[in-house]
Amino acid sequence: MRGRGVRYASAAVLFLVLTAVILILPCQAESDLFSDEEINALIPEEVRDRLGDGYDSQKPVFDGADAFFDAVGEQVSALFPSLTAAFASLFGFLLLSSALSALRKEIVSPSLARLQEMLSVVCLTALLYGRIDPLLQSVLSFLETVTVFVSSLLPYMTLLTASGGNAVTAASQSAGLLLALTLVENLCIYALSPLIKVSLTLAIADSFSPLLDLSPVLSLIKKVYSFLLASAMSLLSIVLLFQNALSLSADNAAARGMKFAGSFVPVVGSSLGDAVRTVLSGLSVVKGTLGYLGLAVVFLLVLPVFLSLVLQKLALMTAKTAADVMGMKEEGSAIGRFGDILSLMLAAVCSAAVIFVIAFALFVSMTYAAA
Amino acid sequence: MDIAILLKTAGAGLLVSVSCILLSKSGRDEQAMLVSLAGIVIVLLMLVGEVGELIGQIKTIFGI
Amino acid sequence: MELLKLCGGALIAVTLSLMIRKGNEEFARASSLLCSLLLLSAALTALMPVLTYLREQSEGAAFSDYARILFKCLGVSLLVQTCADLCRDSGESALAGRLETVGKAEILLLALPMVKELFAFAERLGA
Repeated sequence: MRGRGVRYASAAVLFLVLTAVILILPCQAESDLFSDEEINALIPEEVRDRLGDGYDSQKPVFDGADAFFDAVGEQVSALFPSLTAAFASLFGFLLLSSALSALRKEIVSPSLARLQEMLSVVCLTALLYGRIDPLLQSVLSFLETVTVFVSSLLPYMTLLTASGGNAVTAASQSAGLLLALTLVENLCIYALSPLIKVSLTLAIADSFSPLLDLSPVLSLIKKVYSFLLASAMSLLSIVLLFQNALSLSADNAAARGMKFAGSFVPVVGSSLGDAVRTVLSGLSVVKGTLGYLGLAVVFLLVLPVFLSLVLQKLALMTAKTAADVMGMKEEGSAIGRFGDILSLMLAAVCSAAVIFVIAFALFVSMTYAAA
Repeated sequence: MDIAILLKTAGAGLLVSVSCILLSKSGRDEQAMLVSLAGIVIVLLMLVGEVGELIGQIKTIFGI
Repeated sequence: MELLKLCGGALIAVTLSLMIRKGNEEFARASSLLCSLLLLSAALTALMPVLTYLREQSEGAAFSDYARILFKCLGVSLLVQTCADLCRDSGESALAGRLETVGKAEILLLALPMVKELFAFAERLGA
């Protein structure tokens, strides 16, 4: 009786293990898992040629630190001329204004003099706004592109995670990433960009009269913005980190149970374990490459926007110092206001990029529980 | 700068004032008044000419 | 040399004005008015190379529209200031004040296209 019971138990266990293996085995063809066309279709166009031709699923996208810094250097040298031209025209305008202010002192009547000063500040505002507007458009388009890219990559990531046996992690990972995507989209695109636009309008209005002082309103908007962004991003990173840790341990427990059961199978038990391990190592390579691809694409998307924002902000800071040195206080504070708005945009871009980088890094570093 | 205009004005002014004094002293007050009026008209004509030139100069320099 | 001529001319005008004031007050005032106009004209002639250079340089730059508006408004205010001062010297301060109002209106009119552009920007932001 007892021998028959043991035989039935081991047959049942064998059957279960075989079913699990059969479900995993179709994923074994690692280079055919995702065809090159599918992957290429996911990558946004502006990044495709920078990634180089021939996406090879066996090697990571950045060969090392050199390739990485080469990409950065290429971007900087592409952006630098246009930004130095922008700074030069700003600086030239400041010089002109200060040269003419010597004549402006001739005007004795106070209202005429004030009108002249106001005119100079308004011209400067128009000049600055012409620079900031395309940057705002590029920030918004970056946020859209990155959310579309990550949301299109999400099913592949979930598939890879689930096929490795980490079912709970797959579910929580997709939930976490969906939360991140929704937050980035709704917060950055629908909540933060109106705040930026309001600040821009207020900065324009502030330059029209030296009597009108809108800086308390602007600093309030800045505080609200930073509070929203900081709380959203810390919430997101906590959720992503802890969800991964918790679900990985859950999957570990389940997988360990399965392994223990598998070890009872006579004769073929160990070779089944080896087969599963081989499959999983193949899957890990694909997972790693997909994760690295995601990281590389997010990085290459963020790089031009980030660099142009940083360089423009540097140019504005230098121009503000120059204006203060030349004794043009009103112009200096106008430039400072626009510099603050640039910092707001920079914060949004960096937060979105960092959240996605965290998600991809977690994906890459996740070890399969069944291995 | 045309310092000549100024010298002309100075000469005309001295002439007018001297002839005014002489004429008023010799009892011809109306003629004195006419002479001083003539002097002022001449100076004003020169003034108007100068103003026109100045406005033209400002127009070309500032591009109004 | 120009500077010495100008200073000499100013001194001549002052002396003339002092001498003639007793006899013919209007004459003295007219001659001092003339001298101040001549001095202003000389100053502008001296400034002409500087201002022409600045204008040429800003024509090719990105901010040429704004520079043009700045130059025109500066010219308007200088002219208005000069004429208002002349009026005040002759004792017509009300006239001077109204002339300044005209000048302010002219400056606002010149700045109108740029203000319209800024408002269009702001409107596009809100759209």
